[in-house]
Amino acid sequence: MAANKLSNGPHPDDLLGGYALHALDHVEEVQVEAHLVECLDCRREVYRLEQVAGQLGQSVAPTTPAAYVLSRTMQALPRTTSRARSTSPATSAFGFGRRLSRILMPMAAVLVLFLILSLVYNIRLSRRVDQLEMESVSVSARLFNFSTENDQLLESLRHQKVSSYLLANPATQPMLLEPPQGTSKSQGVLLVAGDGRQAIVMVAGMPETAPGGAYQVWLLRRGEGYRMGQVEVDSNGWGTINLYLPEPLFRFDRVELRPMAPGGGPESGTKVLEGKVASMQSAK
Amino acid sequence: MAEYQEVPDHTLLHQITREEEGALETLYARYSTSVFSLAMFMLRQQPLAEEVTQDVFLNIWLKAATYKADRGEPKAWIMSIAHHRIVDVIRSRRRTPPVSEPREFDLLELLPSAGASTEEEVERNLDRDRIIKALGNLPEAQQQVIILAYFEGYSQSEMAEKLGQPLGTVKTRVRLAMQKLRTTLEDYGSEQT
Repeated sequence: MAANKLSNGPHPDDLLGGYALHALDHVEEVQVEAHLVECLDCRREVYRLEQVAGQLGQSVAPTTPAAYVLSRTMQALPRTTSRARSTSPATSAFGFGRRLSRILMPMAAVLVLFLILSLVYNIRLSRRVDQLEMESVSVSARLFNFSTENDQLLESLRHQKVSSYLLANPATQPMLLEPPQGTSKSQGVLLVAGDGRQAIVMVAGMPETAPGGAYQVWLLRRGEGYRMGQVEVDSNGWGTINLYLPEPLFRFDRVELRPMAPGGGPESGTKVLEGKVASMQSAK
Repeated sequence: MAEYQEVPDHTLLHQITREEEGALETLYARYSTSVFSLAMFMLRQQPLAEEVTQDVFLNIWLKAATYKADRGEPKAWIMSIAHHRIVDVIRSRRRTPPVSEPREFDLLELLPSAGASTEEEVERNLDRDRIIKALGNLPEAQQQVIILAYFEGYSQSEMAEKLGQPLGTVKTRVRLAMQKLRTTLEDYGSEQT
């Protein structure tokens, strides 16, 4: 469709032929008519196409209608009697009707014009409402994204506060987390509060997990394991998690980090990092 | 009615707005055959075709004031009113269950009838002959959509469904066919003048 110099909408070029052939669906027909009200170019094009369509109509073999069709038509004309006897006094009532119609006809014309303008206005309004609805959906989606990012930032800030507190507190004790064979570049540190119930695990150089994957933090005691949480690492292998423990860390033997399958399934069993609680000062 | 015989069509329309019945009778004499023929051809039922013819001239009586000279020949305007009315009848009948399978039209059915006697009939047959030639010169796919749309009253979406073609393809065919017909028929008109 070409751009329209006179109206907001594009020229419905691909509909004008169908319009002249009366081959549009009702909705399309209304759209074209609304456009024609304000577009002189398209109106002229439709008139030219109607000339073509009119000629098509004259291509059929001629058949003359019966004479009574004319008489029936003339009899059916509105106010035929009043016109035929417009000078007769007997038809004064019809004369009044005609005078009345002269008043009503301009009103009807104004009404029709008003209806056409209302139609055009409604179509424009409807398009604007559609645009606003789309913009509203877009803004809602952005707001949702902002809200999610805001939550993530607040969570991150809370982590930072806990980390700072633990780092600054002289009662905090560190535990190194190292790869079992010592060959991996992965390393980590666990900081535990003086009461042993709050800890933070920070890791670096961890192998990248599959999308949706993470590392589970396990506490082990006499061969039994307790899963305490999971650390998600970024593309550089960095990650952190705050742990709130049901009983002091010092009552456990070891801490291990194991990879978790995507979707939160059971751990693969291969520990990536481990640390011994006995190595900590309080445990001693 | 004799006083209207030499009056051009657009003047007759203006006189109709002044409720001159003689003007309508003159237009009826000029175009009732074209209107009735088209109605008979498309509807295939004489009573319906008569009813449509009556409706069309009643419409002209009521809507003559809406005719504007920039629309071109009043003949085309009258045929447009007629065609619109016929299509309305066809579509309202199509919404009810068909009594029998609708028949397909063929260009051959449009061929001029032989034995034209008056000068007017000869001229009309020549006009029809060139229109049929213009239709015949269209590519088959374009010819098909014009026949379905104009002579069988199908909408573009109905044609797309009937032909198993995308709606966009049908619209393009209609547009190209109308452009080509216009060029051909206008060329002919300029040759004549």
